[in-house]
Amino acid sequence: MTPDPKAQRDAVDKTAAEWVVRLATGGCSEAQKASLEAWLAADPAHEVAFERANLAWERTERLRALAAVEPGRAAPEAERRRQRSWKIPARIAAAVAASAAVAGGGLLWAWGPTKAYATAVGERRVVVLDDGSRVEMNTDTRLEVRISPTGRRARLVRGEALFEVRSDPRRSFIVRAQDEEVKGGAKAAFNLRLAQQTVKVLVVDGQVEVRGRSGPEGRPFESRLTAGALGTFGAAGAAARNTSSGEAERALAWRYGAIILSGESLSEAAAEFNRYNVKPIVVADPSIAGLRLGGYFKQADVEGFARALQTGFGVKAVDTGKAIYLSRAAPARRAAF
Amino acid sequence: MVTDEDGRDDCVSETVRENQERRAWFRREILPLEPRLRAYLRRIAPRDVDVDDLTHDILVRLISTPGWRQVGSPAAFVRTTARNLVYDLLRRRRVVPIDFVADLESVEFLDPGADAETALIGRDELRLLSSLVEGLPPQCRRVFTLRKIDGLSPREIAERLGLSVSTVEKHLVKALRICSEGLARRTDGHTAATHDTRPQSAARRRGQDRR
Repeated sequence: MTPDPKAQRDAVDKTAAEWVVRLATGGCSEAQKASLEAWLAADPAHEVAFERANLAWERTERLRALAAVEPGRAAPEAERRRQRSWKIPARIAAAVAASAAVAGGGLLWAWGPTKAYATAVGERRVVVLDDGSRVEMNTDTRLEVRISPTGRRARLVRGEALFEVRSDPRRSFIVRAQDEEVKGGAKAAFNLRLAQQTVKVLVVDGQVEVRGRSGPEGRPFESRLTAGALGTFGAAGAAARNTSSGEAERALAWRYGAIILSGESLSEAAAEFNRYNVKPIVVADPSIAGLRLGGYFKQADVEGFARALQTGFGVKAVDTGKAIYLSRAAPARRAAF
Repeated sequence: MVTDEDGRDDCVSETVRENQERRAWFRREILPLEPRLRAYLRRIAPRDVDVDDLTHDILVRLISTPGWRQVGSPAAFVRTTARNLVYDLLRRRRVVPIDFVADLESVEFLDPGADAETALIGRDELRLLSSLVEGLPPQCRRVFTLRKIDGLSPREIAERLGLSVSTVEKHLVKALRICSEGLARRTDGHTAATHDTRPQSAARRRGQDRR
């Protein structure tokens, strides 16, 4: 060991953190990347420092979910784009947008301008609505919101979002998804997911009322859900049950970019990854579709998931660049540990 | 599972990719165990050995594992590597208390059922992260928050706060290092209690035997 290992480690840690900050900004040239690889190859201690900084950078992404964002800080991207592309003063643009919303949206959307928010596949985003309520949007999601002096209404067109309702005794907060309307109580927080004509409501905090038409024989119904409850509404009818804290945490793992599996089948797991990635996982062999899986994965890390399947589950993964095909591997040798 | 589409990849990029995969394995499978590795070493290492130095040596050894693809259980692998290194240390000493070696075997690295996943996603981590950020110096915290929560680029932050881009980067580096240290050492703090019941009793037993 060198005379002062701590001082030396400190210097290495600093260089590693500088690399991670620079890489995260993007725009590193090929030459810079090559010099990073050379620095890493010079000493495994460099690698350790670099990956520690890397992991810390990844983990601080979770802060995004916590942030008490001030209203107005996250201006709706769609609105900004629209105004810019029309090249007319913002005030006129807003008025035009409002009248367009009235014409296109029908009676339900007749007052106040409608703002639309959307995320692309693999994208997550936090939006603070004009009333101070927060919405976290998951991948491939579209939300339309209209806040007026008399009411607060939103429509989840597709995807998944977590709503944290700012209390306001004068205006109710109602989110519509398909045929269901979810009304959030004071300080309610709830996660709404729309997939395959089914609406799932997970109540995180407070309580919500759900009204819809998925009662027996399509009759209208109303139900009240409290924190921890998961309601499922759709063609198969309406159902509600309580979740364990672990189940609720898994359902909300998307907020920090994770997929947590706990006994899901391989085909369910593949479908979950495919929500977040353009390159799909294809379960090519029906005999492995029912494998039950557990584990923590990053949404974007399809390769890591495929690798875990290969090392732990006797599954072969073939990456063609366009898709990852999964099939049963030849009988595997036992792992060394 | 990575296929070469045209097979023209030369050796250099092949090595780079192999290294990147190995490092990704280390980041995903091994590093999340660092707090528990530290806790484990604090129990099994001789008292005059610096746990920071030892942790570092073990991590360096772990990231250099050539056969990493064959490691089935990262936790067992970390434990074995750590124990072997401590044995090496002890072997180089002339006098080793016999009860010390016996205890080495009885100290658990993990509670059954507790795994890297739960360590990674625990609510405590979120609480820890936010308290780490709150503890940053004001300007440093402002820069880091704009970067990580608002997603602004260093250039945008520089414009907004009237700083140079390199100053922004310096703040980010500082914040990142503080968070990184905090995360790696978190068993020093509030999450320790959930995992430590058995190892603590082992440590206590060791203390009694000595007396």
